[in-house]
Amino acid sequence: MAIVVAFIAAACGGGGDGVAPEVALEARWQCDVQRQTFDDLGALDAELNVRLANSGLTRVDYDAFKEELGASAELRNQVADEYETYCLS
Amino acid sequence: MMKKAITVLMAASLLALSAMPALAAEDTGTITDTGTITDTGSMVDSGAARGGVTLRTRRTAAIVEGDTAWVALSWTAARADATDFKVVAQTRSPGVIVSYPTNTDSYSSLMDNNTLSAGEIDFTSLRVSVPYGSRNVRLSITATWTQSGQSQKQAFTVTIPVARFTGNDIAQASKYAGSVSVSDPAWLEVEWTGLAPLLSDVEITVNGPRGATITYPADRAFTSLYYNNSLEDGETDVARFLVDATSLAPGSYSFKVEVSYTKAGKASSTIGEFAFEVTG
Repeated sequence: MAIVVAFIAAACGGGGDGVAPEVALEARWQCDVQRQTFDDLGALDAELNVRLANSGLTRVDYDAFKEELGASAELRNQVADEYETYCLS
Repeated sequence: MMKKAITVLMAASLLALSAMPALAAEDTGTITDTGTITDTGSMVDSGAARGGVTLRTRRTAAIVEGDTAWVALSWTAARADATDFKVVAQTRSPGVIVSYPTNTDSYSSLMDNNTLSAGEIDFTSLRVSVPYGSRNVRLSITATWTQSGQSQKQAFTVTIPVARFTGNDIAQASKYAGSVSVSDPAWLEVEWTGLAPLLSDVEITVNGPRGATITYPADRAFTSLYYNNSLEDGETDVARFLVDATSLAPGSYSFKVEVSYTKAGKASSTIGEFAFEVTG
């Protein structure tokens, strides 16, 4: 699986610029959510919705991505890599 | 060409990481961030060979004293999926109250479900009430889950920084109280916005121009806010009082309105001025 992904990345010119928007959004959301407080869980949800809208994604897109995330170790690795690049630099 | 070269290099790196899952998992134990996310390296790991979970958040965002807010704790599961993931929190900080989402009631789980897949990053939320005068709060977190068929339990510590509140406690939210005819008394209203995390026991008294008779609801010596007698930060509420202006000539007038309240157990007050109109 990793070999396939690597070749696809190479063929498509994937790299820092080639991170899927859902991956980038998820990584940054998981980082930023720890850095703020929320008046209620509705406000937390609203914050996510704003980020989705700014990324051109819908809640349906996000829910589908989360489901895919649960099933794909490779996708989780991508999020983790992006998280560490964004959050810990 | 350069972009292609970089892409190939990244692909090679990806291959290398995939070949060393143990290294990737252990790496979460040495990450340090100078920001709000800090791993002091003192985590208890239930054993990399069996899996375990990692708490990525050791220091949350700050809560202002007197306030109640939700904070997020970030987690990762190593090697194997952690199912039935639950988190409870306790604290010895006086007056601090921790509570959970209403759908789980006595614990918190992950935002979307109760499974932390191997390598997934997800968070749990806690509602924390911090009284005035609190110092930084230490939470003792207990996480329980099932992993590779075994029940697991692990303890962690998280710090919630507490910020001091500075600035005005309350602000006048309106400048005009309304109009009243010379022939009929009318209820006028003034609005206030809370700026401090919490103001309690709010009482409002009105000092009007000579000739205006002010009456408060239920014939009390004061009025309070419509919703309740407290104001939280960012909350605007209204207070009403009955004005009899039969002794006044039509024209523009003003009230002095005093708002008294308690904050952190101490009494305080502020005065605002509101305009009103007497009509013929």
